Amino acid sequence: MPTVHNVPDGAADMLPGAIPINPPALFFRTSQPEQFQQLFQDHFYVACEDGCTIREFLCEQMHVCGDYTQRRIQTVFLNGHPVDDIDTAQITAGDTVALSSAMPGLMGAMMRSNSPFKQMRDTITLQQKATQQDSPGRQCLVRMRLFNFLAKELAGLFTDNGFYIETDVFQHFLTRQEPVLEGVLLDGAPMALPWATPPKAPMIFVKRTETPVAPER
Amino acid sequence: MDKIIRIDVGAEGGPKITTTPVGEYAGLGGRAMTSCVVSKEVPADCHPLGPENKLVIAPGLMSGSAAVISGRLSIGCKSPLTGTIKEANAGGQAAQYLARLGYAAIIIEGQRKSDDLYKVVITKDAVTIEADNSLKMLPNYDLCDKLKPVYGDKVAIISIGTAGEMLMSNSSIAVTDPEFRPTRHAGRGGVGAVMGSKGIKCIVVNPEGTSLRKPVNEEQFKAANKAFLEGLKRHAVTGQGLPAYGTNVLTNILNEAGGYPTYNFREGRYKHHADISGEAQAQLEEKRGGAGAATHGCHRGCCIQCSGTYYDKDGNYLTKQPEYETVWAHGGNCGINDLDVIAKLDYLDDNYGFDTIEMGTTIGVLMEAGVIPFGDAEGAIKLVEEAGKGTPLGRIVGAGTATAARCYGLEHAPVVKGQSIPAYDPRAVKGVGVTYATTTQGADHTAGYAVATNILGVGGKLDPLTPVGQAELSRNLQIATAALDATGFCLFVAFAILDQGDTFNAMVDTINGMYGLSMDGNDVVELGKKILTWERDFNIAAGFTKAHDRLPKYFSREPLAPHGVVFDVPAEELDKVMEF
Ligand code: SF4
Repeated sequence: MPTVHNVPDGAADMLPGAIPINPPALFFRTSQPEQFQQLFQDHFYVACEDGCTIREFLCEQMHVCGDYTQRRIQTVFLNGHPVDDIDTAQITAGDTVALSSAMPGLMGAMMRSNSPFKQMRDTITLQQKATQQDSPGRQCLVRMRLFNFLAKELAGLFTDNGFYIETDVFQHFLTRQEPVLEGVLLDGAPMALPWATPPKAPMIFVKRTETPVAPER
Repeated sequence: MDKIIRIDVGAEGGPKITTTPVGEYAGLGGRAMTSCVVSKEVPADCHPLGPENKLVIAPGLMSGSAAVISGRLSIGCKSPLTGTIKEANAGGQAAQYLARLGYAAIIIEGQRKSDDLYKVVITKDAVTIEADNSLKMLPNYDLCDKLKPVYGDKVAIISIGTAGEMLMSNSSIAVTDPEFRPTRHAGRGGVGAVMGSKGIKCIVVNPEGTSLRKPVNEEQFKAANKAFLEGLKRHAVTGQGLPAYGTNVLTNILNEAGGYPTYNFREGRYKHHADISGEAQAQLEEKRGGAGAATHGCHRGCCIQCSGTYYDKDGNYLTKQPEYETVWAHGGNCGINDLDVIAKLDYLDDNYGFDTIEMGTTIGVLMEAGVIPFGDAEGAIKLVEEAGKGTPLGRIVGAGTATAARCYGLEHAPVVKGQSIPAYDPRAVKGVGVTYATTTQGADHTAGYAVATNILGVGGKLDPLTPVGQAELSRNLQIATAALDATGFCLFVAFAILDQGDTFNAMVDTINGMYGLSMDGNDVVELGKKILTWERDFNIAAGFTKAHDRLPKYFSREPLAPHGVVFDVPAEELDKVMEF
């Protein structure tokens, strides 16, 4: 059985899988969303319908669909377990979903969904996990990781959709990567990054907008 | 490639060079050549550093031709680290040049008669050897600096650093890259010590006046080579992933899978993995810029270019782009999350002539033993420097992981047959554990790397829906890899030839066009089997039994976080791998 609530790396303090209530919201404009790729390879959070399959989550909720999923997303992990069938693997609150394009070498081949070498990693492959979600269909929080090309290619989509991130992790990202962001608003008030005093809340909501107007979330 | 150079270092009156026709070894290249010569000419029970052992250096079958990505060099002997037969493989310019000069192999044999250190020079007109004691104890970069004004930078150098001279069990043989830097290493198994035991410091290979080898069937060769190149470019991994991120792109994946050995194989995930991932490395290299920063080939003619050049924050050359296994060995395995430190360690390894995997795992063991704490970057640098200088502690470090663990009384020595386990934890990915346990080479991830099993149809086509035994999978992979290692093609073509049948056929046709043959997949399989049989028979004669084809017991006893898995492939299954 997979460990459902295994959320290391700085996220340990938050209640796994619960969407933060009215977190501080940061909005900005940028024509270079790929600046977020280093953050996205580490982790971020998005809202998801509890109990949906990975395909439903990607396609219906995140709008990552069809040919792209087939061609580009070659390796999928759910809570660190390689997934062979995204139509049966279900996401529940607090899960971690990681996506990668095709990877080199035997290890890369082995980790791919439905690899001819999947037998070689069968002790860690995702087995059908029992669905025990309390309220199927409710919105929950899922931890995401996007690796290599996907972090670059999907950065625009995920920044447009909006994502949640621990305030201290985002602060670390801002200091280290110094992304160029324009028209930055924090809870509707203009501000300059890096901020002098970060919000106190443990988590913030981050979203790219076309205009510096707070959108719905 | 119809000649062999034999260097008898023990001849009366000083080392003697003979050039002979290739004879019974005709048609062999790379690993097929090294393993055939070692199995036929080296008594399996000899001491690896004794006069009976031989060092065999062989370009691949396709090296020196216009075939893309064909410049890999094989170096074989009885290994001082494992006591088994050994083939270590390197990029760099030497394979292409040796092949263009017409040499299928260099065989260094005999017992050195003095403490003199020798330099061999190979040109189109002659092969000469002379004592040059001014080269003694020069690290590889310093050696190249000294040789450059004499021979220019259009030659290739095959050399040992101080580790090889001190006959350390962890010592590599360096090969210069297109920029005349000693960055490409036949790393594993202590091959440098065997070269050192023969008193040879370096081999200068000068291709001046030579040209590309001509194919027997030019038209077939050209068309196949074009299709092979097109196939490699078309594939997402060989055409995009490897050039953009290099092999270190595997860090995030292995970490996510919980198979990234951390703190001397104590855990399966490293919390700072994102700091040292291929993605972070590529971004840093791009930001710092410089020639060949994120994309670079280890030899001319490589069309994948998985390598790069690592510059420091001020734009000064530091080392070549460290590979995944190096970043892991010195990074997560030792709790070091600073790419600049890892690059510095990579440079020191190359300079003194150490295998980066063996060095990283040795430091991991010393960290567990409390010699320095996990995460101690300065301490790690100091340990490599001590090893390169041969201090008493440095001698332990340079002797490799198994010896270091023995010296400090640790059970936790992640080794098989004395060679350290690389960057994939066999408890999480047990299929690779089967290969570590059973390969003829000691723990070696590349031994079962050529993922062309489906196309080769070894033991029947693999149906993804039908469970196949671990033994069978590992055997098929090891056979395919052995064959590929004979060609001189880089193992990284494996991904494209797995996915694209036409690319596999183009590769085989390139060989057919070059030699006027009509080989098919079955012949490739037969070649792979033949190589493994030579190697296995040598190891049996050297005293290895099935009992040696095992992982250390603690991998079956101590669960690996986060998945809590142990290595549970039964011994009977392991014993089936070499049954063919
Ligand atoms: S793919 Fe990488 S290792 Fe292989 S030949 Fe090219 S640069 Fe060298």
